[in-house]
Amino acid sequence: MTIFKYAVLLLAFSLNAIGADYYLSPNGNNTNKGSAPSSAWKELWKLRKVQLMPGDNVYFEEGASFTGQLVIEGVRGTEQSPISIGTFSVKNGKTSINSGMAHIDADKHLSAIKIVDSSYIKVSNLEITANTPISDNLSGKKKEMRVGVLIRTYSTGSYQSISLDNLNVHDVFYYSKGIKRSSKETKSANGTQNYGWGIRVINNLPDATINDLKITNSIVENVAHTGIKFTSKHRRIFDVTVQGNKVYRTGGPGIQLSGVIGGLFSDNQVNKSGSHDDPRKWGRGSGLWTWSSEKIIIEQNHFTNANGPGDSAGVHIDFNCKDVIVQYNYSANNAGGFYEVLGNNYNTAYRYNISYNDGHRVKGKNGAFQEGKTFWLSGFNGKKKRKGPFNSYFYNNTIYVDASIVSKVAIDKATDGALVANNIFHVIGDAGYVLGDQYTPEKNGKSNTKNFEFSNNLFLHSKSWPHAAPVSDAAPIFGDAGFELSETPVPEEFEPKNTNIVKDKGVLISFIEGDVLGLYVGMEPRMDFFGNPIVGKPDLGAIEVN
Amino acid sequence: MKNILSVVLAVFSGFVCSATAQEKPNLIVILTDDQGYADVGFNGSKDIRTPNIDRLAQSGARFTNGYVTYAVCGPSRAGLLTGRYQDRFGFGRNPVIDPNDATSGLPLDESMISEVLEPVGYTSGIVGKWHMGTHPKFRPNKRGFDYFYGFLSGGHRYFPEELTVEDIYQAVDNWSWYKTKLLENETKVELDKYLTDKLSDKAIEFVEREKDNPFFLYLAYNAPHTPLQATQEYLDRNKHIKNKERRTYAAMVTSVDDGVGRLLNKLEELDISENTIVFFLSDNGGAGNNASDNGPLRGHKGKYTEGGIRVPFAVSWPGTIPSGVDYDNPVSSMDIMATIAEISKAPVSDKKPLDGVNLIPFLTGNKQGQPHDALYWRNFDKKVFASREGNIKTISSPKSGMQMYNLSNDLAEQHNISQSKMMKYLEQDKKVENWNEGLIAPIFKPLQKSKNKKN
Repeated sequence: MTIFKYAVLLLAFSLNAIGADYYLSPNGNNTNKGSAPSSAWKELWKLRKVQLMPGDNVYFEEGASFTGQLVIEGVRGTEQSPISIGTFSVKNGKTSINSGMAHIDADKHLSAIKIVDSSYIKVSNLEITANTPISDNLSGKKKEMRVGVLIRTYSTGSYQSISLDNLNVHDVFYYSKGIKRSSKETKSANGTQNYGWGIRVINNLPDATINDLKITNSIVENVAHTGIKFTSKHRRIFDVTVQGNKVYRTGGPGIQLSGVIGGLFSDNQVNKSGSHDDPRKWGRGSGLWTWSSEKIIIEQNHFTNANGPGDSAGVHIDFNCKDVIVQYNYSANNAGGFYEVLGNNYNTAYRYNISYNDGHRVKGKNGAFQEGKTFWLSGFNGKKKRKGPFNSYFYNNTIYVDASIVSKVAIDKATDGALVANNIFHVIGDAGYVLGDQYTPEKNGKSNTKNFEFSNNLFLHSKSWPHAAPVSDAAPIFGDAGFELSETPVPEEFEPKNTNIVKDKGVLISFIEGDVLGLYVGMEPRMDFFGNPIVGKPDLGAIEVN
Repeated sequence: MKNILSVVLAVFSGFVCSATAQEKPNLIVILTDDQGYADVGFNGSKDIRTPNIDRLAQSGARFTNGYVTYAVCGPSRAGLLTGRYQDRFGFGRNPVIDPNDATSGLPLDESMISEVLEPVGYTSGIVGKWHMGTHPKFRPNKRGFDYFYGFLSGGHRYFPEELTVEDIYQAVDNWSWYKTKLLENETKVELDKYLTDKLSDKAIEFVEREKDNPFFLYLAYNAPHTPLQATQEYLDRNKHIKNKERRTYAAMVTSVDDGVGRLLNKLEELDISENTIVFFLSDNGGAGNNASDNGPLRGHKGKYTEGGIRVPFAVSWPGTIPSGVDYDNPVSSMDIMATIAEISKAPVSDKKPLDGVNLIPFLTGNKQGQPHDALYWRNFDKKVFASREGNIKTISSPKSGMQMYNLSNDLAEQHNISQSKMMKYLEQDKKVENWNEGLIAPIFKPLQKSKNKKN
């Protein structure tokens, strides 16, 4: 090879390493090269004709609308040179990238953005909708889904780093308006029909992994089923960050994860999950729930106004999980309740959370098939024999239930290892014990919970914990923490005014008898609900008082 | 200082190729006690002057990522002296200082450097702190050391008039062993000057005596471990330090530094420098109670953040190791044994394989890459585990949970990335688990707790 040829090759290589830019604008033309704002393409499908390479960028014009499907399949960026999908604007002849949003509507496609078998992809600044009906036939096709943004695997491989930032995904439905679902459909575990979903990540292959997924600063609103969902049958989704998102009015859960190892879910606001304000919606869903997942932190989120005839708590830990930590969250007005941990779960914690009027649902009313509950340990784990939950830590939570709600409690007899301490149960009305809410667990024989360490909690009065419950506080404190709440309270209002009754009254939390693992994030919480240090002995409840 | 690249270049251009390793070089290990990472000139100390220790480092290699195997004295020394993770043989905590306790010591079926070098003709001496068991069967003269001058316990007072306990058997109260008379082999001797200076004298005497044999000298200063005690002369030389405790600590380091200088001078005078490998290191990070400074490293003695286990560490072997090398890959105190065993061709038991590696080829540039795939730590009693693989450090403990740090951009271990890199954490944690399976529980009871002092 001559030096000249070598130099040309090197040049070609370096150009490639810098990456190509592709522009799309409603004022563009499909006969253009697409490589500059002035020679932009007009339509989305033109992208199908290029193979995206490391360092490539795709820019949609700010404020413009596009229809169709953006497909990224088998595209591999690199850590140093990811592939970015974003926006541009031209003002006074000057091009800016990462500007305001552009809009992609899926039109008749099943998803607006589909990322398959790809790595190092960044998507930002896009508004996504998918509301053109696929079908009006509720019973016809096999289960199919409509998704705003779908990330999934079809081939064996290790897929890395996909991030979605500043997206606005809304109005994602499969059927046309006017379709109604039966109440039986809402009772099934996850629904059997076709739905619209906000953002989904799916890796069901046993020999593929997706590692490092980030969904940040985005909005998911008004979709038929779950807002943000991760699914991996073989637990092969690793390291998920879901941070700073707003998930509103989803027909199913706000956020759901199945088979995720390593996840941080923080600073999200989930409101009105399980919404039924559109008959196409499923109408049931917790703010967030985990299934078959490990090493998950759920913190500093707001979960409010979850609706549904079953489950539909602020956060619930469904079965087969390990090391799930729910801390520093504000949970309010969720029909299903505040604390729900199902069977075969290990070493979970709810600590330093505030719960306000959770669990207001009443069985039998409006089709409800479960009671709402303040506190629920359930041994349910699918078709298998009930077992656990094991080593469930529940400490330093502040629970406020006003007089309109009976605070209900259920504790499965299979519960093995639980610690309940330093909480404030500010239950103004009565408390009730729920028997057999799920597959009649308490029918056979009396409770034989093991290693249940329950002491040093503050109760407003002697009826704040149900007398019929199989366990009760060994060293209860009774008294009024002195909350002064407005009509629509904010977390700051849950700081006790009667500081004497809570200050330094907490006990140090150690391992439950028989537990050798404790909490994977450590037993010592790094701060209180507001991020203040815990000085001296912990106070009672979620807030260290001044 | 030059980095390793320049060494490689030097090798390419043939500068150091002519230097051949001696077949049975002498080995000197100078070990200080609780000295902070930043408390030597060669690691950037601003207030403590260590011209002689720096001279040693500059004549050879400075290890910027030099580790010990445990965050307190006893187990760390057991790792150093055997070249093996001490938890493999149950030395997972500080031993009890009770001469009647026949379990509290380094097991006799493990071999120390002195014992490994014996069959290939080395004479070994230990001057200073022993801490490997006080029962007669564990003492230095039973462990391959031909000569011992010092004390058996984990710490000592520095002035002759304070050594009032005649015999270790009389040291029944906790910490009274800090006051025992010194031993020369098995004979009680009177101390006649400031302890650190005396240890230096005895080390020099040993070298003079053994100059014609291959020898191993283990100079285990207890300075600058508490109690903070220094002579007026050394205090006066540190007048620039205002804080009284820090000044005393600095004065104790000055005494060590003087001793190191005199020892190096002696090697030159005897013309055996080029036939002597000298290691300098501390047994763990600076302690929280002796005014030490671990610089940018977080934590101190007892902790498994860098401040507890990364130590000032250097080696010189003039003529073989190029001078002025900064070696940045992680190395361990266990490597000292592996280095000397390989060079001297001393046989090492197949049943007790070393965890250390010979560092010399890495320092001369003959070998590239990392000496260790990973380094591991365990504190059995506190259930703490730590590991370092490349720049990734993990720590887990019941109190603080899982932690992972990228030391290349977070030396101070401030940003726990375990949650966002769980796949990597679990991968590395799996290796920790595998490593742990090769370890056993401590074989002796723990040292009794005292409210005020740590050993």
